[in-house]
Parts: sequence; C-alpha cells; structure tokens
Amino acid sequence: MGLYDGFQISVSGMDAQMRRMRLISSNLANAGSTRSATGQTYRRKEILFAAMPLKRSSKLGLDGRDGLCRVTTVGVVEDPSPFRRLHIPGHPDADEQGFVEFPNVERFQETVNLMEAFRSYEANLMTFNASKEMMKKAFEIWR
Amino acid sequence: MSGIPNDSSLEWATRALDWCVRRHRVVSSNIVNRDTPGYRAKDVDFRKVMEQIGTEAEEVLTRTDQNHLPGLSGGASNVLTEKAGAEGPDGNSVNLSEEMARLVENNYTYQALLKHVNRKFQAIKLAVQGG
Repeated sequence: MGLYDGFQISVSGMDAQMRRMRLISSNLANAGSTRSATGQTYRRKEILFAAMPLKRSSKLGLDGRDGLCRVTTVGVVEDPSPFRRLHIPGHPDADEQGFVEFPNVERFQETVNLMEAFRSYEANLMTFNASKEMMKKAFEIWR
Repeated sequence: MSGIPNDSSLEWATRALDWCVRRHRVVSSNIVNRDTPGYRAKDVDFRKVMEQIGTEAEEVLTRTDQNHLPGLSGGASNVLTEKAGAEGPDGNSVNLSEEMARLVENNYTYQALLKHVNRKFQAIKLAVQGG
C-alpha cells in the first residue's frame, strides 16, 4: 500500500530536522566557546540535506524513478567564515596582541534557523498524521 | 466478480482513491525536501491521470474473456510534472504553505471518495442482508 511509503517519507524528514535542530543547539551552546576538542575556537557547523529517490516497493504508485524522494543527511560541514576577534588582554586564550577569537556563531541567525527547522518538523508531522488518518479511514471500509 | 453489481462509479472511485494516495506521497516528498538544495517541487498531472483512467476503463470494457481480471492501474509514469514556480537562492522551488494546502485538499478529496465507496458497500450489504 502506497501509504506506507508516506510514513517513510515523513519520518525521514522528521529525523533530518531533528538532527539539524541538535546541530543548531550545539552552535548556540558553544557561541562563546573559545576552545574545542581540536584546541581551536569552536566553528559553526551546518548540516547538509540531500533528496534520496524512493525504492520501488510495489507496482502501485510512484517511486524514485518518477522523482519521488525522501530526505537524508549527507554530512556536517564547518562554516569557513572568519571568527569574531575581540580585544581582551589577559584572557587565557588571547594571542600576543591580546586578541581572542570567538566562534563565528550568530545567535539571531541560529535562532531563526531553529524556528525554521521546527516548522519543517511540524510540517512533516502533519503529513505523517495525514497518512495515518488516510490509512485509518481505509481500514474502516466495510465496517 | 460477477454477482457484485457492476457499478462503474465504484470502479472510478477506487481508482481515484489510488490516485489520492499517490498524490499524497508526491506532496509528502515535496514537504520533506523543503530544505534540500536544488529540489524541484512536483505535482501530479491530473489531466494525464484522467486519460489513463479512461483508457483503463475501456480496457475493462473490452475484456475478451469473462475470466480475465480487470488489470490494476500499473503504469503510473509520465504523470508527474515539475511545478513551475519561483525558486530560492539554493535552487529549491518548494512553497511550504502551498504544499500544506494541497495536503489538506487531497485529504478531503480522499475522505469524500471513501465516503462514496462506503455508501456503495452499505447498499450492497443492505441487499445481501435483505434489509
């Protein structure tokens, strides 16, 4: 039944948006981290999405060959934009001139991204619920 | 299938239900890829669908043997179109509010069709049970 694919599609989106939200949380939490695991200042991270064609599951319905896709995360990239440099002499991470490099995280931008990710998550949840309702109704035929 | 009233509206409704499910998946695919760079929104070309259902219905009529089963609508290709529309800087052309509207619209069409199918079955049931 084609609706099972509907669940698969929606869940892939919820999962992808959840990963994105986790990454945004990480960016926000580390907006002031001048050190990270590499010893360098924390760099803002971004998630990459890609459309993944659906496998042919049944002879009924459309699939990847028709351009039907779920979403998948293909990786995490670091934002190469420059760090914010602040003059704080005496800071443990200050260089010789007294400059400290702070992460290239823009709090407002991240907050907007977070809202957008949440909206996408909600949209996918709505499609999931719509699939569920459709299936429920189909089971009620001849009841 | 002889014995069950040969009701063409039931036949059409069930085929249309199939297409509602397909369209639901197309809309789901659009919504899920709203943040995927380069993704182009898709839609079902209903004119082509109606043509296809029409030819299928003819095939049903021109069955040469009573024992032949009416074929399921198998060939679903060539009915998807890329929607024309403004695309964002990342090449993505999904308009979320439009897709949500289509999701709801499609869902109601599905419910209406199901209601029709249910009524038909109720009528058959009534006939079987003799009121």
